[in-house]
Amino acid sequence: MIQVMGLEKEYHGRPVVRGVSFDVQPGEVVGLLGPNGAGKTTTLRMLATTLRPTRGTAKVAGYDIVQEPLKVRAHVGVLPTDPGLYGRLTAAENLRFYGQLCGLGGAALERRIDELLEWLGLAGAKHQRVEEFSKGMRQKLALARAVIHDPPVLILDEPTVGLDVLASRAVINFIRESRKAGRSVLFSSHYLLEADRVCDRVAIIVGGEICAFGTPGDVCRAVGAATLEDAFAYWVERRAGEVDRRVG
Amino acid sequence: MLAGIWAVTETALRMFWRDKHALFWGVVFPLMLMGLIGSVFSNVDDLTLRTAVVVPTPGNPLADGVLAALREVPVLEITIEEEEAALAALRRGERSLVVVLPDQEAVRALAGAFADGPAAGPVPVRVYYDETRAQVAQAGLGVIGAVVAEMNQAITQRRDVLAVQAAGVAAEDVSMFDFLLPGILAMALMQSGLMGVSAVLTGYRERLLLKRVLATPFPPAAFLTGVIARFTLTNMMQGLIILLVGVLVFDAHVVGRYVDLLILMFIGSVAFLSIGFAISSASKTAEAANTLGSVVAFPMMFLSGTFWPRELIPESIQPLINYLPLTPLVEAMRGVATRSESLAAHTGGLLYLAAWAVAAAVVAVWRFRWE
Repeated sequence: MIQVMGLEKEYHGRPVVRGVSFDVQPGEVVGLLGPNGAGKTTTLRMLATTLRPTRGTAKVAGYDIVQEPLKVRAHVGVLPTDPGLYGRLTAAENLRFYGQLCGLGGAALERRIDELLEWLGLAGAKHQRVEEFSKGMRQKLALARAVIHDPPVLILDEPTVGLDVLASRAVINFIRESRKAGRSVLFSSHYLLEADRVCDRVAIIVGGEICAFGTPGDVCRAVGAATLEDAFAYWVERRAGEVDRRVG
Repeated sequence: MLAGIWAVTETALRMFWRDKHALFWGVVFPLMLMGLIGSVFSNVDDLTLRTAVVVPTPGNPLADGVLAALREVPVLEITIEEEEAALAALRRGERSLVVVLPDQEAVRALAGAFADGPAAGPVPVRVYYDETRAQVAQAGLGVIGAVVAEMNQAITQRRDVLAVQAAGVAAEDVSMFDFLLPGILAMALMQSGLMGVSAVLTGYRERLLLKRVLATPFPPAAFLTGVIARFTLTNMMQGLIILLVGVLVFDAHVVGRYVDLLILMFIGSVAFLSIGFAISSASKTAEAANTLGSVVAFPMMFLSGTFWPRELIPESIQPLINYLPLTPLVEAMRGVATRSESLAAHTGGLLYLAAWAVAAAVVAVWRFRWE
């Protein structure tokens, strides 16, 4: 469902993402794990077609991200790090607006809004303005917005960052439900325990390059690590050592 | 596609109506300004008589004497003007009186009459006044009559050498509110365009709302079309409210065609939206957009004839005023509202405003950023 092929991004000649390749199958959750500045968000933004790659390409839901960005957007749900919701609109109005931008309307859209708010436990806040929402409620609403058009692919950028335990659980449940519904889910995270619990496969990205890609077990075994956190630390330190040697 | 554009417009309108600050600055503030300035200055004619003096032949001692005497009167604010321009200004309500002093021929005839013995008729000092302002006319004629009588005494010791010849001119009855309404309307359109658009768009950009739109299958250009439609609609609504309150509450009169005013509101709205888009495109943050918008808006607000006639602004900065995009809009709106002028009479100015709109649109498209 997502097929990434040698994706690269440079800013003013400085490489940020270097030849990234991986795939996400239908009904699979893949975690993109890396330290700050590793290129996770840049990779996700290229796949969501809000950033044009310098080289390489990817297919999302069968559409090329460079050649057919509008078709990609129609088949992908995106949750960015900042929810970007309209504070002066109510929860239902926010969802209705994005639904309309996705070409939905009428009774079907209203049903979908009710269904999503119910599913995420926001039914009671349907007519409440978003400016009055807590961070967790906003994140849930942003998730509802991401799937308003029932996309087969989900791209989530740090979906649990800054959330309390209950809100994080709700997000993780949402990801699991999405997998059950047959969606391909690609999400980035710093939280390795969480990734270990929910991901079918993980990709460790450091310095814009994917160092390891496979099931959490495979990734650990490949470097003789006991936990995903150890494997992650191994790759980050090794990468830092390579940079030191290059600079030295 | 059209349904999507309408969804953007409708949603943006809803957000506007829920934004108390935008409503205050867009609708209430211009009305407050009109009420305050109108109330404070509506009786200004009672204090000062703006008097245009026409001197047909400069260097004529009799005329110079009368002029010097007129200048001595504190209540008269004297300007020397050509007769035609002065009468036009009187008709527009920009002058209280026009005094035409005797020309060389009249003085010569008077001198001849003295030489030949028998007294000729008095030399007329023509005074034009505005028939619609009875009190001003009465006061003005009284003052000029007294000055002329003094002159007769002082120069000739005869009472019948100079005589005031009064003539009423049917000027449009332009009250301070009549004068202010088109200026405030134009100012409100400019403010919504410059400050409103730039604040909203940079705010959307800063809160990453524009970026969210990019992640949907909705074409970005169609989204911007919806936003432009929202601003055009709210500007027209603001303009209509100001117009209605101006006419119904402040008793301002519109002597020209309302439909022409609406057309001008639309043209002004689109032009200043375009400039607002350019400002928001050139600004990285909402604060920067606000500052740049203020830098552009404030000089126009005070120099383009919004609150007072351009004639009152110092000569040295008059050329600058001609280049401000608000000036042609204010002049066209005032021409229609207070003098019943046609839009065709303002073609040049409106084309100049359109040129600003096109240039700003080019900058907006060239520099526009979604994040």
